[in-house]
Amino acid sequence: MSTVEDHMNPHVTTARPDQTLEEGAQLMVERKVGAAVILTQGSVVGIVSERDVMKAVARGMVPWNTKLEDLMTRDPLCASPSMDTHEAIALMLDHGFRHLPVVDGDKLVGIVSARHLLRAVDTPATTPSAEA
Amino acid sequence: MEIGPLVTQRLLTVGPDHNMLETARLMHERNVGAAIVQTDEGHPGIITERDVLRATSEGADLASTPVSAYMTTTPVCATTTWDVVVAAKTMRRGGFRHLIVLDDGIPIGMLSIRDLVDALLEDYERSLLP
Repeated sequence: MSTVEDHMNPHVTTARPDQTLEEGAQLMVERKVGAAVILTQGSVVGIVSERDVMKAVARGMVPWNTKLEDLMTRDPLCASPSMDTHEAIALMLDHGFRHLPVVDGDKLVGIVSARHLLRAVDTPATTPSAEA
Repeated sequence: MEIGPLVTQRLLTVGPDHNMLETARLMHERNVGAAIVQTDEGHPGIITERDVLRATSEGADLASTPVSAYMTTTPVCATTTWDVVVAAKTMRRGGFRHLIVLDDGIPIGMLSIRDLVDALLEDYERSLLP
């Protein structure tokens, strides 16, 4: 069975809680990612997804006047590099998340998205009998 | 497995002259990540939460920015008989997350990568059961 480390992206887009919504959106567009992990002194304190950005602007938050800490999901669930891929999949399905930061101890080492895992499983997912 | 059962029929349709703020509000209220843009040109367009992100990143005044400034005018469309793997590969290779589903050229639903990921991952989980 593969582990999260096999599928994670080690190049994580990160931001600080005091950066603005506009800056966070710029980071996500420039890096072509769907989420940014929010760090304070190297520790994961939150995550912001493009869905969070849409919700924020829909609620009338002003992008250049709103801090990421005002819209981030605080203390997000994280995976460890050695976690089984299917355990990470179960976490995402159970909680409706599309991204999991990957931490080794307190250190952020990657991010895994549902899209990464989909790439890993799409062939066996549709041909389970081939695994038998 | 065909995509038919995964296609959401909760369609949100806006016009190219709607503003981006109102469109974001509607998408948020309906809990969808994309809306069909009905144009006079026959082929439907699409506007997504990624487009809202782009507009936000550029400092656009969303209340006065029309959907037409950020929409995709000729999106790839699917039919209900598409295979899920074909749909997944199409999205992955094209770098987009939503497919408008047509029946006889008329939009009848939307397939998001969220729906697809959920279905494929649930299928994968089931395949691991004894």
